[in-house]
Amino acid sequence: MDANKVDMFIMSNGKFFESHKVAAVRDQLLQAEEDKWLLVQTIQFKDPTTSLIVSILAGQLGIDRFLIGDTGMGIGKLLTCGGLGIWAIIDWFLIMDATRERNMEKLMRTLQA
Amino acid sequence: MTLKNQVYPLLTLLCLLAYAWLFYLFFHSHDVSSTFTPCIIKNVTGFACPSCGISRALLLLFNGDFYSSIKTNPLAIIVALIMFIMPFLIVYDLLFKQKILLQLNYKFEALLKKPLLAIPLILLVLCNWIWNIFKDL
Repeated sequence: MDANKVDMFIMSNGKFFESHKVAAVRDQLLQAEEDKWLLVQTIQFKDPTTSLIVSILAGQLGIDRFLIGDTGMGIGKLLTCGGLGIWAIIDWFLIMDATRERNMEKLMRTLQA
Repeated sequence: MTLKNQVYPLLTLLCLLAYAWLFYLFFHSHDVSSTFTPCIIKNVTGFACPSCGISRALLLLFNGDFYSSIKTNPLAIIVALIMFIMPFLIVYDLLFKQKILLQLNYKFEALLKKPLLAIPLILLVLCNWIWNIFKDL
Protein backbone atom coordinates (compact mmCIF):
# COMPACT_ATOMS: atom_id res chain seq x y z
CA MET A 1 0.00 0.00 0.00
CA ASP A 2 0.95 3.58 -0.52
CA ALA A 3 3.25 4.84 2.26
CA ASN A 4 1.30 8.08 2.64
CA LYS A 5 -1.95 6.25 3.25
CA VAL A 6 -0.26 3.91 5.72
CA ASP A 7 1.22 6.82 7.66
CA MET A 8 -2.17 8.51 7.76
CA PHE A 9 -3.71 5.32 9.12
CA ILE A 10 -1.03 4.98 11.78
CA MET A 11 -1.44 8.60 12.84
CA SER A 12 -5.15 8.33 13.39
CA ASN A 13 -5.31 4.73 14.63
CA GLY A 14 -1.97 4.13 16.34
CA LYS A 15 -3.46 4.46 19.80
CA PHE A 16 -5.68 1.45 19.21
CA PHE A 17 -2.71 -0.88 19.09
CA GLU A 18 -0.01 -1.86 21.55
CA SER A 19 2.94 0.47 21.12
CA HIS A 20 5.45 -2.29 20.37
CA LYS A 21 3.15 -3.65 17.66
CA VAL A 22 2.73 -0.41 15.73
CA ALA A 23 5.87 -1.10 13.67
CA ALA A 24 4.51 -4.52 12.72
CA VAL A 25 1.19 -2.94 11.77
CA ARG A 26 3.00 -0.48 9.53
CA ASP A 27 4.97 -3.29 7.81
CA GLN A 28 1.87 -5.38 7.24
CA LEU A 29 0.01 -2.45 5.78
CA LEU A 30 2.88 -1.52 3.48
CA GLN A 31 3.01 -5.07 2.15
CA ALA A 32 -0.74 -5.33 1.66
CA GLU A 33 -2.38 -4.70 -1.70
CA GLU A 34 -4.05 -1.45 -2.60
CA ASP A 35 -7.54 -2.95 -2.72
CA LYS A 36 -7.36 -3.69 1.01
CA TRP A 37 -7.29 0.01 1.78
CA LEU A 38 -11.03 0.41 1.60
CA LEU A 39 -11.58 -2.58 3.89
CA VAL A 40 -9.03 -1.32 6.39
CA GLN A 41 -10.62 2.12 6.45
CA THR A 42 -13.99 0.70 7.40
CA ILE A 43 -12.83 -1.37 10.37
CA GLN A 44 -14.24 -0.19 13.66
CA PHE A 45 -11.66 -0.42 16.41
CA LYS A 46 -12.51 -0.35 20.11
CA ASP A 47 -11.07 2.53 22.10
CA PRO A 48 -9.04 1.26 25.08
CA THR A 49 -10.05 4.27 27.15
CA THR A 50 -13.73 3.50 26.66
CA SER A 51 -13.21 -0.08 27.80
CA LEU A 52 -11.32 1.17 30.84
CA ILE A 53 -14.21 3.43 31.83
CA VAL A 54 -16.71 0.62 31.29
CA SER A 55 -14.51 -1.73 33.28
CA ILE A 56 -14.30 0.60 36.26
CA LEU A 57 -18.03 1.35 36.28
CA ALA A 58 -19.52 -2.01 35.38
CA GLY A 59 -16.61 -4.43 35.43
CA GLN A 60 -18.31 -6.81 37.79
CA LEU A 61 -21.08 -7.41 35.29
CA GLY A 62 -18.52 -8.41 32.70
CA ILE A 63 -19.68 -5.68 30.32
CA ASP A 64 -16.09 -4.63 29.63
CA ARG A 65 -15.27 -8.09 28.30
CA PHE A 66 -18.48 -8.23 26.28
CA LEU A 67 -17.48 -4.93 24.70
CA ILE A 68 -14.19 -6.39 23.51
CA GLY A 69 -15.82 -9.51 22.18
CA ASP A 70 -14.69 -11.91 24.92
CA THR A 71 -18.15 -13.35 25.41
CA GLY A 72 -17.01 -16.40 27.41
CA MET A 73 -14.97 -14.36 29.85
CA GLY A 74 -17.79 -11.82 30.12
CA ILE A 75 -20.23 -14.50 31.17
CA GLY A 76 -17.69 -15.86 33.64
CA LYS A 77 -17.38 -12.43 35.22
CA LEU A 78 -21.13 -11.97 35.29
CA LEU A 79 -21.83 -15.31 36.94
CA THR A 80 -19.14 -14.94 39.58
CA CYS A 81 -19.81 -11.28 40.43
CA GLY A 82 -16.53 -10.23 38.87
CA GLY A 83 -14.69 -13.30 40.15
CA LEU A 84 -15.64 -12.42 43.72
CA GLY A 85 -14.56 -8.87 42.96
CA ILE A 86 -10.94 -9.92 42.47
CA TRP A 87 -11.15 -10.53 38.73
CA ALA A 88 -12.97 -7.23 38.29
CA ILE A 89 -10.10 -5.37 39.94
CA ILE A 90 -7.48 -7.30 37.94
CA ASP A 91 -9.31 -6.47 34.74
CA TRP A 92 -9.10 -2.75 35.51
CA PHE A 93 -5.40 -3.14 34.73
CA LEU A 94 -5.67 -5.73 31.96
CA ILE A 95 -8.55 -4.38 29.93
CA MET A 96 -6.69 -1.68 28.00
CA ASP A 97 -4.07 -4.09 26.69
CA ALA A 98 -6.71 -6.70 25.98
CA THR A 99 -8.60 -4.15 23.88
CA ARG A 100 -5.46 -3.35 21.93
CA GLU A 101 -4.79 -7.05 21.34
CA ARG A 102 -8.30 -7.59 19.98
CA ASN A 103 -7.92 -4.58 17.69
CA MET A 104 -4.69 -6.07 16.38
CA GLU A 105 -6.37 -9.42 15.75
CA LYS A 106 -9.22 -7.69 13.92
CA LEU A 107 -6.81 -5.82 11.67
CA MET A 108 -4.81 -8.96 10.91
CA ARG A 109 -7.97 -10.91 10.08
CA THR A 110 -9.06 -8.20 7.65
CA LEU A 111 -5.67 -8.04 5.97
CA GLN A 112 -5.40 -11.77 5.57
CA ALA A 113 -8.98 -12.42 4.50
CA MET B 1 0.14 -10.86 27.21
CA THR B 2 -0.83 -13.81 25.06
CA LEU B 3 -4.12 -15.09 26.33
CA LYS B 4 -3.89 -18.50 24.66
CA ASN B 5 -0.94 -19.77 26.71
CA GLN B 6 -2.38 -18.61 29.99
CA VAL B 7 -5.93 -19.89 29.68
CA TYR B 8 -5.42 -23.23 31.42
CA PRO B 9 -3.44 -21.92 34.41
CA LEU B 10 -5.96 -19.10 34.81
CA LEU B 11 -8.93 -21.46 34.64
CA THR B 12 -7.34 -23.84 37.14
CA LEU B 13 -6.72 -20.92 39.47
CA LEU B 14 -10.30 -19.72 39.07
CA CYS B 15 -11.69 -23.17 39.82
CA LEU B 16 -9.53 -23.51 42.90
CA LEU B 17 -10.55 -20.06 44.05
CA ALA B 18 -14.23 -20.88 43.55
CA TYR B 19 -14.04 -24.13 45.50
CA ALA B 20 -11.93 -22.53 48.23
CA TRP B 21 -14.54 -19.79 48.60
CA LEU B 22 -17.35 -22.34 48.83
CA PHE B 23 -15.52 -24.46 51.40
CA TYR B 24 -14.73 -21.38 53.45
CA LEU B 25 -18.39 -20.39 53.46
CA PHE B 26 -19.49 -23.95 54.20
CA PHE B 27 -17.29 -24.43 57.24
CA HIS B 28 -17.37 -20.92 58.60
CA SER B 29 -20.94 -19.89 57.93
CA HIS B 30 -21.47 -19.17 61.60
CA ASP B 31 -18.33 -17.02 61.91
CA VAL B 32 -18.72 -14.90 58.78
CA SER B 33 -20.90 -11.88 59.44
CA SER B 34 -24.03 -12.19 57.36
CA THR B 35 -23.47 -8.82 55.72
CA PHE B 36 -20.13 -9.49 54.02
CA THR B 37 -20.05 -9.38 50.20
CA PRO B 38 -17.16 -9.21 47.76
CA CYS B 39 -19.55 -7.48 45.38
CA ILE B 40 -18.34 -3.96 44.57
CA ILE B 41 -21.73 -2.89 43.26
CA LYS B 42 -23.46 -3.93 46.46
CA ASN B 43 -20.89 -2.16 48.61
CA VAL B 44 -20.97 1.06 46.61
CA THR B 45 -24.63 1.43 45.67
CA GLY B 46 -26.33 -0.75 48.24
CA PHE B 47 -28.26 -2.56 45.51
CA ALA B 48 -27.79 -6.19 44.55
CA CYS B 49 -26.19 -7.21 41.27
CA PRO B 50 -27.47 -10.04 39.06
CA SER B 51 -25.11 -12.58 40.58
CA CYS B 52 -25.61 -11.66 44.23
CA GLY B 53 -26.73 -14.61 46.29
CA ILE B 54 -25.07 -17.23 44.11
CA SER B 55 -22.76 -18.32 46.93
CA ARG B 56 -25.72 -18.80 49.25
CA ALA B 57 -27.67 -20.55 46.51
CA LEU B 58 -24.72 -22.88 45.84
CA LEU B 59 -24.55 -23.83 49.52
CA LEU B 60 -28.28 -24.55 49.52
CA LEU B 61 -27.82 -26.68 46.41
CA PHE B 62 -25.00 -28.53 48.11
CA ASN B 63 -27.31 -29.30 51.00
CA GLY B 64 -29.85 -30.62 48.52
CA ASP B 65 -32.37 -27.80 48.87
CA PHE B 66 -33.11 -27.36 45.17
CA TYR B 67 -36.17 -25.16 45.57
CA SER B 68 -34.63 -22.62 47.95
CA SER B 69 -31.56 -22.48 45.73
CA ILE B 70 -33.62 -21.41 42.74
CA LYS B 71 -35.53 -18.93 44.87
CA THR B 72 -32.28 -17.36 46.04
CA ASN B 73 -30.64 -17.14 42.63
CA PRO B 74 -31.44 -19.32 39.61
CA LEU B 75 -28.08 -18.55 37.99
CA ALA B 76 -26.45 -20.72 40.64
CA ILE B 77 -27.46 -23.83 38.71
CA ILE B 78 -25.40 -22.69 35.73
CA VAL B 79 -22.49 -21.91 38.04
CA ALA B 80 -22.83 -25.31 39.71
CA LEU B 81 -22.79 -27.10 36.35
CA ILE B 82 -19.73 -25.18 35.16
CA MET B 83 -17.90 -25.68 38.45
CA PHE B 84 -18.66 -29.37 38.30
CA ILE B 85 -17.67 -30.01 34.69
CA MET B 86 -14.65 -27.74 34.40
CA PRO B 87 -12.18 -29.70 36.59
CA PHE B 88 -12.89 -32.83 34.52
CA LEU B 89 -12.34 -30.95 31.27
CA ILE B 90 -9.12 -29.37 32.52
CA VAL B 91 -7.72 -32.72 33.68
CA TYR B 92 -8.80 -34.41 30.44
CA ASP B 93 -7.15 -31.71 28.35
CA LEU B 94 -3.94 -31.85 30.36
CA LEU B 95 -3.76 -35.66 30.30
CA PHE B 96 -4.55 -36.16 26.63
CA LYS B 97 -2.98 -32.95 25.30
CA GLN B 98 -6.25 -31.91 23.71
CA LYS B 99 -7.95 -28.54 23.63
CA ILE B 100 -11.52 -29.60 24.10
CA LEU B 101 -12.15 -26.86 26.63
CA LEU B 102 -10.98 -24.13 24.27
CA GLN B 103 -12.96 -25.56 21.36
CA LEU B 104 -16.09 -25.75 23.48
CA ASN B 105 -15.49 -22.18 24.53
CA TYR B 106 -15.21 -20.94 20.94
CA LYS B 107 -18.33 -22.82 19.83
CA PHE B 108 -20.17 -21.45 22.83
CA GLU B 109 -19.04 -17.89 22.11
CA ALA B 110 -20.02 -18.15 18.44
CA LEU B 111 -23.43 -19.45 19.47
CA LEU B 112 -24.03 -16.71 22.02
CA LYS B 113 -23.08 -13.87 19.70
CA LYS B 114 -26.18 -14.44 17.61
CA PRO B 115 -28.67 -11.69 18.52
CA LEU B 116 -31.52 -14.21 18.49
CA LEU B 117 -29.96 -15.98 21.44
CA ALA B 118 -28.16 -13.06 23.04
CA ILE B 119 -31.10 -10.69 23.48
CA PRO B 120 -33.43 -13.09 25.38
CA LEU B 121 -30.50 -14.09 27.59
CA ILE B 122 -29.68 -10.46 28.36
CA LEU B 123 -33.35 -9.86 29.22
CA LEU B 124 -33.30 -12.90 31.52
CA VAL B 125 -30.24 -11.58 33.32
CA LEU B 126 -31.91 -8.19 33.71
CA CYS B 127 -35.07 -9.83 35.11
CA ASN B 128 -32.94 -11.78 37.54
CA TRP B 129 -31.25 -8.55 38.59
CA ILE B 130 -34.58 -6.84 39.23
CA TRP B 131 -35.80 -9.88 41.14
CA ASN B 132 -32.62 -9.76 43.24
CA ILE B 133 -33.27 -6.15 44.14
CA PHE B 134 -36.85 -7.02 45.08
CA LYS B 135 -35.69 -9.88 47.24
CA ASP B 136 -33.32 -7.48 49.01
CA LEU B 137 -30.43 -9.92 48.76
